[in-house]
Amino acid sequence: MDKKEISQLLNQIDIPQAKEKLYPLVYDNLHEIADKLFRRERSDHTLQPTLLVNEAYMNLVDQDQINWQGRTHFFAVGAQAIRRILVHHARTKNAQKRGGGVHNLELEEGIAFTPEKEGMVLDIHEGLEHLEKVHPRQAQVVELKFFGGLKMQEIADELGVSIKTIEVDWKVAKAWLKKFMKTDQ
Amino acid sequence: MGEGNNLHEKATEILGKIIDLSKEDALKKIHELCIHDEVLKAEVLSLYSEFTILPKNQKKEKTKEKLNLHLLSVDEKSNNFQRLRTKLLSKKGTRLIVIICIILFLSILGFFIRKNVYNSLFEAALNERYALVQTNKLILEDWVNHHKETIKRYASAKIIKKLATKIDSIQHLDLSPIERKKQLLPLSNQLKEVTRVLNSGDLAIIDKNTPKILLNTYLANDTTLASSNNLQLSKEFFDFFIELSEGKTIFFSPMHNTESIYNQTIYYEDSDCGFMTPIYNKNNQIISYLFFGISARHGFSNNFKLSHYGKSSKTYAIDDGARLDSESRFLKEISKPLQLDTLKKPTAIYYVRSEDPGVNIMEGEIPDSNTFDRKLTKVAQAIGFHLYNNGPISGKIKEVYNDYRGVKVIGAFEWMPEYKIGIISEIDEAEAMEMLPKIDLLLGILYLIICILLFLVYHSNITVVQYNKRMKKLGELGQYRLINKIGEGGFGEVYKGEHSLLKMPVAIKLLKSGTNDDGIQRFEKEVKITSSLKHPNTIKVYDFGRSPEGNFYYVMEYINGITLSKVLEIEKKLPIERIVYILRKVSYSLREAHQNNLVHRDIKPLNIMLSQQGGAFDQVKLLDFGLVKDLENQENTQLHKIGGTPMFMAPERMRDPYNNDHRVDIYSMGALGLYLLSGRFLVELISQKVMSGEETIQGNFRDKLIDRPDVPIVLKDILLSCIRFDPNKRIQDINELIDVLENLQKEHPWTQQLAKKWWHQYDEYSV
Repeated sequence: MDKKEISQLLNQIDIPQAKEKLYPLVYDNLHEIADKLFRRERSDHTLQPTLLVNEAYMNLVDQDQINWQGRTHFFAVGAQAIRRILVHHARTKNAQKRGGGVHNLELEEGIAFTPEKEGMVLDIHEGLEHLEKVHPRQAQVVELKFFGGLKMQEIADELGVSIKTIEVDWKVAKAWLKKFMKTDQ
Repeated sequence: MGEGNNLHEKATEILGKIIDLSKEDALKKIHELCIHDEVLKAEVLSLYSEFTILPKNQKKEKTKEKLNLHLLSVDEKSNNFQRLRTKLLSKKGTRLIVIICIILFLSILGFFIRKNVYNSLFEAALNERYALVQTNKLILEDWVNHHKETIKRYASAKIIKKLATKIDSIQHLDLSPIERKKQLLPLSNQLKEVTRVLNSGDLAIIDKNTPKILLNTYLANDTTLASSNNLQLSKEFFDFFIELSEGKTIFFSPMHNTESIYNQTIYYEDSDCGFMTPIYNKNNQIISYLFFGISARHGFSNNFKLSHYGKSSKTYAIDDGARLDSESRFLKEISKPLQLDTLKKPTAIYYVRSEDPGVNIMEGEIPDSNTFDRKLTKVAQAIGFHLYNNGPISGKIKEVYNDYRGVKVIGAFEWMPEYKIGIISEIDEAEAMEMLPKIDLLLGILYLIICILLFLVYHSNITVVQYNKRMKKLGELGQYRLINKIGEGGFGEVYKGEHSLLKMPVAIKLLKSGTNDDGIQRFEKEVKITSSLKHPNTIKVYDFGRSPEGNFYYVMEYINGITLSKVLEIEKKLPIERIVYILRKVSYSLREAHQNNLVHRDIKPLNIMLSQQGGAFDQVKLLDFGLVKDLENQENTQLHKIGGTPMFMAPERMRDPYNNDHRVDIYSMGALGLYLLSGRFLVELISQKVMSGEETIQGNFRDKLIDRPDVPIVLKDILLSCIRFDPNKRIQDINELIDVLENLQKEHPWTQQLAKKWWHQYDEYSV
């Protein structure tokens, strides 16, 4: 699929179907980008998930052909993909979960991953998997914000709810995740 | 986490309610809400504690507040300055004056800088000249002393003494000229031999009683004596004789041969300087004097050649009559204009006086041959001032003056009384100021750049000032304080604001365009009509005005809701009930407007607001009544902007943007209804049908525009009637549409419960 087709896909009305088609493409592209970074094997390498998604966006989407909603949709797909890539990477490196509330949960957007933080990815991933069961939308908000770097308004638009809803979800989800990590060993 | 979804969802719901409260109120409320459920309470409290224990963040917020307060006070202080700046810069006229003032100031500054540079260069050149004068003076003294020593040495030589004694003895004998010649010839040959051995140039022996040449080697040979023998020297030499008789060795500065040395006898048109010293016998009595002449043109002038460098630097000597005593550096250039070429061997010495010829000889101009009117050069005047008025013996001429070539020069001088010559060193102003044109160029370029920048500022300033004001706008507009921007578009910007006294929240729409008088009048008229509209489905307009930059704005009621287009983004397919409900409410609003002869002209999902207020869900408000649509038209008629107004615009309006017929609204209502039902624009629907070859435009294609099976026939029919291209074929009155919608509503009621359900889904924690 070329840039134009991807852009058209994102502009179409049936979004869930479009996202399904898009996911493997975005995943592959992100995987490629991330792999290049991982392969450098520099101990001090930092990796910003939101920047990676942005790079994939540049690679895959013809920006002249897309509206702002399409862009948000892409970042939603990208957030999902990068989350899975980072978790996969942490697992292959046998990173240890930190657990026990040793670290402050850093969930703000634009966070940079360093190898020491690989354990944290697993923590967050696990927390989100549990949160998905009790409140799927809150888990989605965290994913979009943390891995996709979306702004509050963008998340609200993507999920079709008010910005207040997103703000409450985000705050409660953060609290829930912190609490979860404190109790989960 | 065994408790499952329910617990967390319930906890979230409670947290959503208390999230904006203060800690005390929040805790109170949590206790109230969880009074029968301890597990829930524990969950809520544990989560709440996670986001309340954020001392760092709270602190940050406090300092932020403080900062804001501080900024505010600074703002007020800088207000006066801003006002002044705005006053000075906002009007083109005053701005021009400011710019002219700056340019004037820079010109004056540039003038003084240039003058300063000139003065320093002048000063430096003058000091250099003075130093050269001093150097040449020393060189000359050395040269004179050296030659004095030499002639003294010659005079003390035995052979000279012997010769002098013999000549003296012959002198006193009464001999016939032939006999005398016979006697003198061997002596002359001997003296010639001496000059050859000493390599001294011609020597002469002068009578001790009267300045008369006894024996000269000049032009003498083995068989003939010098023709100048027995020649009487000019009266000046009597002065020298006094000194010579006292045993001194003297130097006399260049004298013209015919005019001075040889007492009017034409000899050759040249000047010599010379040295004389007594010749003593064994008894230390003066026998006669030894004379040794040096050509002024060569030997003497060579002393000054060291300072002839560059293009114009020159040092030379003048006598007390301002005649040149040393050769001019520019002999070639001046000989013709100053008629030196009439001489056998042109020379400036004696023939050129340090006078301003009145024209620039170097540029080939010929001076007036009448030399009486010529004035002495400034430097010669200064020397004269020393000689006759007791002026300073040396000095710098503090101004640029014309030299004997008529060229502007900078110069210094010193009079040497011992030799009766003045030494002058000069350089052309042009050469000394060589740096000046470069500095002029540099200053000129800088000046030009500044002027260009100022010119740019003059033009771009408007935007700078406007930008400042735009920043300031988030302060005040009329009586309203702006809080934040809530929308932006081709038309301008929409801000949330509040009345500065009443604190009533308002929305303020600031229009981009609208400066012509026609626009103002229409705008005013429309605002007045719009503000008279009272229907609850019409957004209320409170006020209007013009911003300081001259842009229109109007103030309307603030609705905390979402536009219909946003609703459609969230939910692609609205239920029939809700569509009927929305259309009906919009029609009510239009009915009142049409009764007041006001046409909305821009009905579209973006102009319809839905909100929930105080438990009333899906409140519909129609925005943006007719106001200055004509001004916005230019942008709206760009059909390619999908989603823009043209999709809902009646075809006759495209042809005639000023169309004021209320039936354009009827068309828009039809287009809107179809869009709500199908999610597609009318234009899109038509083209789709045509493309698939199902119908032609002329046919009843409209019947098949809506694929949705659940659309009531009545609704479809009335909407299709609205979108007839011919206004006369449409329903003619909005009331017809209202009647149909009211009837439909009975069968398809959009209840508050349904509305609440939707709003709960959208804004879970507020509903």
